[in-house]
Amino acid sequence: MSTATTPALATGDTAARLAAPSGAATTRRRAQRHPHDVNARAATDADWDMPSSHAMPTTERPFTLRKIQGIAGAAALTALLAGCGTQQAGAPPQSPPTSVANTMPPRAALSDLPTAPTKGLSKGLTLPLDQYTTQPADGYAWKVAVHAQWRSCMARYGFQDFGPPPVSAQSVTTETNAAMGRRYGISDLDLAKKYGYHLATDTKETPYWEPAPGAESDVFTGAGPSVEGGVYQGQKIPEGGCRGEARRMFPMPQTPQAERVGFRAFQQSQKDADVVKSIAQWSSCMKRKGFERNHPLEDLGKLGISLSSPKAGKKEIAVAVADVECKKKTGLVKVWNTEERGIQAKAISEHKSRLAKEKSTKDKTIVKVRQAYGVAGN
Amino acid sequence: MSMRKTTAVASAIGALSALAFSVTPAAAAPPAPAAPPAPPAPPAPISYESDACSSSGNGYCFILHVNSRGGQTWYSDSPCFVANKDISDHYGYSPNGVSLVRYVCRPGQISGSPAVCNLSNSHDGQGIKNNAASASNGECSANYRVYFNSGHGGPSQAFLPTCGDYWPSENLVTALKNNNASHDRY
Repeated sequence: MSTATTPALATGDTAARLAAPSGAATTRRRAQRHPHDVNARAATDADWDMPSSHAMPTTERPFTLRKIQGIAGAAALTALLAGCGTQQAGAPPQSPPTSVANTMPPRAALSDLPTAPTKGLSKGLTLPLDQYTTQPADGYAWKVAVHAQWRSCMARYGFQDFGPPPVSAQSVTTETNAAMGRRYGISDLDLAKKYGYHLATDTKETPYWEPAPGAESDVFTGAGPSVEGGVYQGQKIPEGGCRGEARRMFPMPQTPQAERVGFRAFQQSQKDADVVKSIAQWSSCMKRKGFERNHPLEDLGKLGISLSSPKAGKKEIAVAVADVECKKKTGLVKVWNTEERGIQAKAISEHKSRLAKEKSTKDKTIVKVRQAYGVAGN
Repeated sequence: MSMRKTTAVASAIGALSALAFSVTPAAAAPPAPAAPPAPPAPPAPISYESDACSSSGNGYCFILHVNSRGGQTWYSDSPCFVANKDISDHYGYSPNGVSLVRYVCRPGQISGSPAVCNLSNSHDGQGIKNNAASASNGECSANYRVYFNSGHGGPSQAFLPTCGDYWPSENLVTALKNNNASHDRY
């Protein structure tokens, strides 16, 4: 960590780099294209405003090698799904995730994990697009499956007990309560009384972890001084190391199309007449309590509240409590969620084809991840 | 929406500036022939921080970039801001109520990953708030969410961990692009 005290201006070196021929930069980037993207999501960078013919510029790559890799990757995945494994030629037999089952602590049933906020005014609230995006519980199961595969793979090369501490199922509740629970601004009176607008600190944060430098990192990433020609101590390692192997087994479940629709629906919801009226009522309520607030999501700086401070002060807590109380009095959270639900449902209908395709890809990954979670966890 | 964001930024700047500048009402002040004019308030000491990650060489951090990812590479090579913690306000913070630390993007933040945050100096030194276009999560276990509003409010976009790969980098969705205000680590 470092804190620079230099002005935020481009340096002479910056200018020199910017003057480099763009062709050279392009060549360099192509040479560094990731070698393990064969099972990447069918992502697009397109906005909904773009015509469908331009919607998926990255799904078809103009490189023959890439297509060959894609075919090989698809074959590998098919073999994997058929239970044949993905081991490289010359590699030792690949252990299934079951090999680490006995070392894993008991895990919560995925069906017991929350899919909506568990407390406050947002308790139980969901949105139609939840079915189209990767929810915290799905992300949690994905991480458990990936970590188990890392451990299994690394153990084949002599690295026992590799990997981060077990992911806590509590993180699903924390993320759900934060993401949906603060979508319309803070909505939990108990947390407002204790933390103001700050994040709650009563839940254990996911511990930071990274692979040890040296041979462990080399085998994990597939590159480094310990790995020569894809071989570590006489054993061939998977392309991209154990990290690459796990990624091919469990591609990251991403849903950018649904995310875009969700953000747009949220923006539209703020203009809805009922929401505007409810926000005005909330604002009046806040004013009666002595606080000038025009919108639940506006910056708090004008009230002298800094969210970067270590913890909430008395004024921040007073404003936060009033905020939630006024939301409860005006029914703002429920009104807003109802209107947003309607807008999302309409958007899903309008973009049915694109969203269904993305959802299908996501669901296939999630099904596989949940199966692996069950094996790894018990 | 845009007006609100503009107001929010102005408010943030105003609030942070108020930490260092004392405001003296002038309208009601009577003529004071004997009193010399007050000296101008000293400017707030500002420093710039692009690295809020404890990872050695920043090999395993969450990264925000000023530009979108490469259309072919799916890496983001533009200047970046790195962290492995919650950031409540991408504008910055005041560690002592007087000075100000601004979060900015700089190139060359990641060692050992030449395709990440390393090939372009465009926008070097620019603030990260409402100015990010893509992100990647290089942590191994924690999720991240980037929020539209300061204080982790409003809609958010999630980023699952890649454990040092930084691939694929993800573009912020259209409504969040250049409208990022905070992020949370789970």
